Amino acid sequence: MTKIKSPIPNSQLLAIINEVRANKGQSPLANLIGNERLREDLEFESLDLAELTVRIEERFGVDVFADGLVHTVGEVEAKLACK
Amino acid sequence: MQVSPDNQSERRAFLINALSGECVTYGELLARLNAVPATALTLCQPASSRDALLQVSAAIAAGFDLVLFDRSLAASEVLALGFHPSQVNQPVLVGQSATVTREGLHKLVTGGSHARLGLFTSGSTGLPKLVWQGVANLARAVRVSPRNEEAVWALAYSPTHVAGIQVYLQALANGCTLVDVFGLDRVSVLAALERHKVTHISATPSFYRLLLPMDRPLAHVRSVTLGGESADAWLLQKLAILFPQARLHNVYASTEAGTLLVADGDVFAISPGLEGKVVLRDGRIHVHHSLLGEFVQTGDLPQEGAKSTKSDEWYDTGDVIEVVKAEPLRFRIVARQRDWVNVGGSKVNPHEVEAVLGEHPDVAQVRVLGRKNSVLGQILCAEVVCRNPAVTEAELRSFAASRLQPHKIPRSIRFVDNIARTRTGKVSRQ
Repeated sequence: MTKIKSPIPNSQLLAIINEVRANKGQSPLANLIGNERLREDLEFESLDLAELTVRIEERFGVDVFADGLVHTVGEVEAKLACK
Repeated sequence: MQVSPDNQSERRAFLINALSGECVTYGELLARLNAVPATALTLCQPASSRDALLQVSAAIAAGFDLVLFDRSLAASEVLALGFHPSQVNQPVLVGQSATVTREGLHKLVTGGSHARLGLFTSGSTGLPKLVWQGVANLARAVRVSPRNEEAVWALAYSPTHVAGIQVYLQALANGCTLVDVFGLDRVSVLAALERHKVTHISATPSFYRLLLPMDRPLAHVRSVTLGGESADAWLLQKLAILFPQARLHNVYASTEAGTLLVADGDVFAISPGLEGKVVLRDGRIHVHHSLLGEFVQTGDLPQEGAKSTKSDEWYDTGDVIEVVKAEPLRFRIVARQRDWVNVGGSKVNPHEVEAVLGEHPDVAQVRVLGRKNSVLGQILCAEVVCRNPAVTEAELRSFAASRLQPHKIPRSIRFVDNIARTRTGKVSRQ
């Protein structure tokens, strides 16, 4: 797992990820593991990833995919920490 | 017809399913086309790329008209297009045509077939329109050469759309193998490209963006074509690293007119042979009607006399350009004027989505718009004025999901008190 002391509390990202999951009929996650992959582990398809960026951007003003795609939850967290 | 096991070209794979490994050889394709009695579909909503391409091949071989519906269309969407779902996928007997050979297939693609394909395009208002395209027009960009025979093409587009049909025709005319990667996730696509040593890929910028970040360069890929959306310089740079041996092509095409412009990088020129038929006027691309397919009223069945040719001499694509160099003419495509939202290469008409959400009993007013998105270029968002405060976003989403294809469902729904009158102020382009 990527160890990042993020100023963004995990719970906010967790809530956003769970919103996307709820919208596609997946059960909510209890917590986020940094090395969990968005596509392979969380089963996010391209439309889900696009939705995730919209929601993160609305909440944090950061486009996490602006400079290329991120793989893992930890990498998303890192982008938010670099804000 | 008898398939000789010695015939190497007939043992060659025509279509490989990248996930299951299931394969249809050219010999099997020919055997199917020559089967007696010959039945076929004239309205086809295929369950797979294999289904779609076998049906299209049958139409091309026997020279009949075939309407293709997206796999993901809901029954209500098929109805809205003017067709009854029970009519779709009903086999009909078609007249036995002459035996098709491997060489014959090639000739059919390059001008011998009278078949027409009915494809749906996003209309500028209201519902998608049915456009009829002759095989010859669809195959206009097909290049046949012995050099192309060993090519292995990735099928990354839907086989029910013009871009997917063009990839299929290119492969069929040259006897190449198609590897079906349409709709697969990143890991499966990358594995399939490597396993089958894919040499040619034609896909949307969103498809390529989703292959990143790259694990290692794929040196067997020789040709990479981008189309359906504008591609930025950043992506082209990344692709040059991922595919170090490939030539990058940027293509401009539309369901109405097929491929019109090709460019290296993001600077376009009018293709040789199309001068005078594709012109720049008032800063926009105009296409001569002789290049357009035939538009029919949505719901008309494919029959002679039911078609109506678009009467205007020039078709304004609404796509706005910026001239880079006057002589020879070079230009960039900077914006699309229409209301269409381009979600990862699939064009969505926001009016259609608004109409569907408006059917929800608690929705008083709705506006659907595109927003810039770094994953898919654009994404659909909705603003809704709701009569009932208890209605949730998830509820509206599931309402839409039962009536619309996935890419037409707004991925962010905001509840607002009122909706501004103009759409243009908020639509995000670029």
